Amino acid sequence: MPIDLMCEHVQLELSIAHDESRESSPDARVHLDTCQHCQRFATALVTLDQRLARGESHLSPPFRTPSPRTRRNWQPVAAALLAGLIAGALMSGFGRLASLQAHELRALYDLASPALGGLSADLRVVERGWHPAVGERHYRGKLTYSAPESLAISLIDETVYPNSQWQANNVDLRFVDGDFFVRSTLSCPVSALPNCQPEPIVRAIAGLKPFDETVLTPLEMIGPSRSLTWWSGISVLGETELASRSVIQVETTVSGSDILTAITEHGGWREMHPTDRALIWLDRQTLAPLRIEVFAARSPERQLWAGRHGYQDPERDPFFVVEIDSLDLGGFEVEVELGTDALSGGFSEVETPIPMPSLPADFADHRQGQWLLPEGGIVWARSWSDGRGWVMIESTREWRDSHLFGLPSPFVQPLALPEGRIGYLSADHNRLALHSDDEDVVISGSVPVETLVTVAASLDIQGQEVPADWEESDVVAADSIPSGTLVPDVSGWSMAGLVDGERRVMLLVGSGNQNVLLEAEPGDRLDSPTGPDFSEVEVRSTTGRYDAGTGTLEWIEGGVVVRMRSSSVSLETLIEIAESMKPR
Amino acid sequence: MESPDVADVVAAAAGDIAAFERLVHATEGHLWRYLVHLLDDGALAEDVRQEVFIRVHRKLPSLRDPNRFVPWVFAMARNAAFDASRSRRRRKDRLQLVVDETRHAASPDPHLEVEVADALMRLDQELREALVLIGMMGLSYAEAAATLGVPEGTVKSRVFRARRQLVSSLEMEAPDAY
Repeated sequence: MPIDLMCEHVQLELSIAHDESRESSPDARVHLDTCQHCQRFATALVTLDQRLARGESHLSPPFRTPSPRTRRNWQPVAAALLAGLIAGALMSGFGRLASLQAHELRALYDLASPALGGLSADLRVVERGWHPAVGERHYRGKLTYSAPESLAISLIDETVYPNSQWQANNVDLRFVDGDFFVRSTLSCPVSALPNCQPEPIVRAIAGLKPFDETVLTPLEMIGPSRSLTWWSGISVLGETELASRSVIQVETTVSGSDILTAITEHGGWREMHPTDRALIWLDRQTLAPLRIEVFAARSPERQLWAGRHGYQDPERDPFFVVEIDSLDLGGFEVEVELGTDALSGGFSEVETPIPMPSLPADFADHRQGQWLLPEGGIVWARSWSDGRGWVMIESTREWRDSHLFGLPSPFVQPLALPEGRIGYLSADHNRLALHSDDEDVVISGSVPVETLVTVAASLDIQGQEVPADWEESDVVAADSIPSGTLVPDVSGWSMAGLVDGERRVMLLVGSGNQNVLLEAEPGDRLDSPTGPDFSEVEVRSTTGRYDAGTGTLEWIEGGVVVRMRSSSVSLETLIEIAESMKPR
Repeated sequence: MESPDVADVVAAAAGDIAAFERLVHATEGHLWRYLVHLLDDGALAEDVRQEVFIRVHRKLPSLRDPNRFVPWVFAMARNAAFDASRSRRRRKDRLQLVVDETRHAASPDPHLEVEVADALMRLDQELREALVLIGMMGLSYAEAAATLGVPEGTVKSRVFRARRQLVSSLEMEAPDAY
């Protein structure tokens, strides 16, 4: 080989070996011993890395970005419950004792949806404990909705700050049929305030698909559709009146409802623990929230979390209050100006081949078009609405992954459809997928699961079992888990299991963002603790262990190590679930 | 970069928000740097990074092999960056100035830093991308190949060519010395 080609070859190998942290081949080392050019290149490789790394180390992100759906941790307590009841009573007089049950709320929501074409209301928010130098922050604003997917939330921060260094936490969020705009500040660590606050950022996206995840959480402000599908941890406290409107007062946790995320998703807000208790007054006519109060939970894990975040929240007073008044139902218009720098949401409105399925009366065409799969391939999407309620069908003939198209997790529930066809229902019961030889479809919506099934049954698609090598093929409904397995017996949760040899994995999905992952496998000892937050707990008449840092409860029972993990529910809830477990 | 915990990927795909936040925390810095190198615009990189995490959150359930999370995210970032660069208008807002000031003022050897950055920006984009992913983000060749949608051998070759050109332009060793 000519010397220059040999050097080229050797230097390429040096470059690759350098990246793979291994020695180069014997042939290359022989050449290296005698070639000064390649020796210099080998040295330059290291020097170059150092120079790149040095430059890199000074290239730092300007600030911490909150996740798209900023969520926190938390928990419940009796004293706070009492405080909430008293607060509710003081505000409205003791309401009737609850005859309505939590699992009936979703039906009320569904009944109210067709009549809701829009609403307008005033907003007031009080936030306490955000920063030691700012006792309370006060906001005033406006909520405007036009069915089914246009919404504007504007909040003006009226707080009097210590000086001009502090930046107002104004939020302007608006979207209209796929065009999305938000101007807001970003969260900063408390210790870095007020200096770290960057200028407000603007995010504009043109062309989101119908009922994109980006807009579904804010839409919970118009009615907690997703939060009510399952009712774990939701209690109806009573029915009463608030500002001359009939309301239903419910108690849940921050993780049990998406409504608080709808308010705090954008902007620089204090954090809440997932188990903090939320009292919500829902308008009886529309199921839209009219008042929300959040109280600090009093569990050890919440105290640990508060200590680490520097919060000192009172137990008896809410640290976060949202009031929605002057509610006006009717037709309202929402406007959005994206500007010229809007990003593309990837959805283009075109005529699709998706046929009209069987839908309840009053459902009319909404939007239709196409978007592209990340790996390539067209997805058709067509949606309908009857006011607030909506249904969408997404279909592709180019699905190449080995899992169901459009479902958020492999924990699904197989469904028998007419004519021997099979569908798969997501754990949250808001999506139903069909797989056939030449087409993959997902039906989603804010409608009852029965409507999703009716839509699926009306489509001319031969839904069949997923192939054996797809992940969903190992998932079974809770009542099909092998005999003898300990299975929770709790209401308000969706449950599906996965059998992997002798290991059993179950996912419980509850209201809002509540979920619990339960694993059981043969064993007679727990792994050594890896953090400082472990404590002994009594569970199922034995001594178990709880890690408050990761939300993991584990114990040994009958030669099986059982492990429950959740960042969205309290230890108390985990133990409740554990105590309910029975051998199937 | 240290790969995020696969268990977090699985949990986040199943809706565990805390797990998703850990994924964001583990990748946001690397992603931002990658985007800065692609776009040469700190403010735009920040905008795109936020958009990428929204897309990641939305599409994570469609990722079936959690071990492919890193290249999947970087590929998404790359696509988003290209979308953004097509529509962007050149702007030097306050944030960009902050980034620039951070870059220059914080370096112990400002001249060297600028020199390296300039040399990087003079590389062809495909070479720069490959070197940034491998040499600065610490992705494996397999991950970088998946991110860029090219064979591993192509990535190896591009990284090598990028290094050769940088070594030359930084006068660390003349490539035509042999």
